Amino acid sequence: MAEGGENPTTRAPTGSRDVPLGERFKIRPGQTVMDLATPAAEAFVAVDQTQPDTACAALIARPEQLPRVSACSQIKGLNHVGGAKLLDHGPVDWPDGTRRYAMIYETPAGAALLRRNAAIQPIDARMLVRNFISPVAQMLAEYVRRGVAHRAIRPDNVFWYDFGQSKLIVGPCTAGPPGARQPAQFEPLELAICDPYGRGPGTAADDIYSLGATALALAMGRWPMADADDPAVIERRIEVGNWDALAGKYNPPFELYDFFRGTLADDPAERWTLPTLTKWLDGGRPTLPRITSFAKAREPFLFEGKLYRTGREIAVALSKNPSQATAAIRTGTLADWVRRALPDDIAAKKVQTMSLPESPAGRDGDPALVARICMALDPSGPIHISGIAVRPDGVAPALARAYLSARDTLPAYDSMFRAGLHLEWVSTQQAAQNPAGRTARKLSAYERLSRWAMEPVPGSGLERCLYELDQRLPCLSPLCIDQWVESPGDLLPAIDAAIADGDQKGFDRHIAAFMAARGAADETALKGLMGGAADEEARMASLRLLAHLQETYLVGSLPNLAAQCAVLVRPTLEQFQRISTKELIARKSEAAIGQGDLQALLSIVDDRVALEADKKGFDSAKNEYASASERLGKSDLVLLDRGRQATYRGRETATLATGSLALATFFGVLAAYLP
Amino acid sequence: MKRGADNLVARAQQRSRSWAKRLAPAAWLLGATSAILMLVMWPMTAIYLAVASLPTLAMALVDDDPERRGTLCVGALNFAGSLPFALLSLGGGLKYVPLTWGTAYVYAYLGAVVGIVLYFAIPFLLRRIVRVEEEREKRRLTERQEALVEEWGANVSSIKLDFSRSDEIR
Repeated sequence: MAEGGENPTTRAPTGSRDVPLGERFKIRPGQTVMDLATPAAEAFVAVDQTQPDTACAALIARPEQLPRVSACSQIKGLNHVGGAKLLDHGPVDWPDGTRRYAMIYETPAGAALLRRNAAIQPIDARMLVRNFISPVAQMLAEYVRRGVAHRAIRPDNVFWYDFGQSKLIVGPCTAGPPGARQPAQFEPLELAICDPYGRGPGTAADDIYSLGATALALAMGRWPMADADDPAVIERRIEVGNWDALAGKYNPPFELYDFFRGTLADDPAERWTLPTLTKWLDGGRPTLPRITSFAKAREPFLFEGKLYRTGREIAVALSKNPSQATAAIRTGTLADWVRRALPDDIAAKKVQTMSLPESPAGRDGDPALVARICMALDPSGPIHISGIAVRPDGVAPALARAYLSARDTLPAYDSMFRAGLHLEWVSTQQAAQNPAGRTARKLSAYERLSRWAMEPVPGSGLERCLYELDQRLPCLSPLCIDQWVESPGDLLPAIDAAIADGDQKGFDRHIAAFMAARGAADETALKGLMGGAADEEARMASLRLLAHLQETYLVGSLPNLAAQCAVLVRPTLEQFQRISTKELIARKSEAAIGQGDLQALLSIVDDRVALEADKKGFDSAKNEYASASERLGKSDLVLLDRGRQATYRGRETATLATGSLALATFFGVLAAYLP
Repeated sequence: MKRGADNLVARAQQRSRSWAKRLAPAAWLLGATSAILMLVMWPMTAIYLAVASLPTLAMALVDDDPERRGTLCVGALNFAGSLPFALLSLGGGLKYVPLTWGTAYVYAYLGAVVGIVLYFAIPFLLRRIVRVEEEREKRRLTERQEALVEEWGANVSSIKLDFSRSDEIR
């Protein structure tokens, strides 16, 4: 590895302050490392504060790019001579105010060894084996032990390990989705056909093909088919096979003949595996793959002015012209041709059955029908639907890419999940005993994708599929896309900051799906978060959820989110009737909002006992008021009635009084005038 | 409570009315016989009593009380003022003839006046008391309603109409 600190290809510092990653590394945003920069990530000088002499570079994922976070965790600290060493990784607060993902690698000595359209002195076969193939094979073995594939072995990602040019290493592999930046020359054909972001995590077998193709380029001193674009490379490889397409008239060194034949075999099942390669490196003589070629049809199929002879070629051609493909299927042209000419009887029978008008293959519409026909013609290929070509295990990065920069392709993914094509693809792989059939271990997750895609409830939809398929994917909501939110705990400060900016308000489908996928929220709470016609229970559930997250993840003050939540729970607060209680709650709520304390806000509004007591008191007061009104309304009648009684009783009293008085008067007068 | 009082009054009125009805012919017969006997035996005294009882007669004519309490009130005191003089005259214990003696009339009429005053004043006083009590109750209820609105807000005065059984009622 390069000694002496900074790489000679860096620019002068521009005065930006250093960005820390943990306590060990500091990234210098003013000093770029041009040799490691890619479309997926910028590269800057990094300083290892514990070992200042180690030359490090930080790859900073560009906005809207998604690095391989899971792979980073697996290979961090892996110290192997075959590959660049990942020292640390994690999100950092970048000077532009965003939070971006940084990966610190040891800096290789110099620029990439062989870029496209460049040429170098061909590397000697023995040196290539000793200094490149052997260490990379050992590195791949270590990667296998850690459960990841490299998926970035190509000539422009190969570097000299040291300035003495004694060893070669492959560069970083975590800056983007697996295989996303691999040119078609350096990808196995069945993956090269896929969209770059939909190739899936891959396996060591895929890395071995890439190793073979890269070694071929280094041995030739130039890129194979350097002038051809990816579709041309794929077409040529299908037509003549990997070796003839890539090597052309190149005559390989005798020492590498078996290696190239084993690693670049057309049939994935025949291609060398890692143990076979190790055996060859150890001096053994592994069995060489049989020279096979794609089964070609007895007569070509004319489609869109071109002639095709293999099922794979036709599948690719059909997928690129869906409307014409539908016409060819519906009119029976394709079925007639496969019956006449396709040597693969199983595929021919499938295509004929699916082409029938009453076939269930057409129940999900024309795009799904074309996809099923393509799957039958090329069982080991990807799912071709509405112009996209992805493998189910590569859907997560492809779908993320679609959300970030190609939203017009989202309906295709939706159609794929709704039609259950991902499940049919897995079944096809298992039936064909393709290595990709191992994907079946994820079958249970795949089965749930259709349900999530179709369920019209908050937290479902394509977004849910996205976050379920990649558990390390950050939340892609516009509210927090710049903040690298990887856990529900990170989500709250990001939302709070976004609300403070005032440009975005409310919780979108991404946030709901992200929370649901990370197990943080149930359907009721999400319904409350999404607003709309949410009832009181849903609104309270959403506040409970946010308060729980704030408490669990030790998130600090969230005043803006608390203010939003106050709106959320206002209907609940309005259920209190006693004015003094309302004023008290309003005062307490304002205090909780000011402190950004959602738990305090929750405890204020979620007081069922107080609410019940208030309700009882209010009912009692209403009854009292109503009876008072009734009594007042009858007041005149009551007065009249009581007046009548008073008159009656008064007269009775007067009668008694006059009777008594009369008796007294009688005797008094009698006594007064008695002689 | 009020309904109980009403019933009591009604029963009492009914009872009084029935007794009065039953005894009325006998009373009239007894009164007429006594008056005739007295007119025959002691004409001067009988004429005195008749003249002294004129206020009672007048009250009996204008009395609107179904139980004739006005007549009773006036008559009792009117009679209490005239009867001693009639008895004293019959017993010979009086120097003057009551028919021509002004003092005998003063007592009789004064009694009638007191009877009239009592008959009208006592009910008036009781009605006044009732009115004051009712005004006080209205004021108390209004103040309580104001206090409830102040404590619970204007919603406390809202009346929730229940239409759940409107169809059945219709």
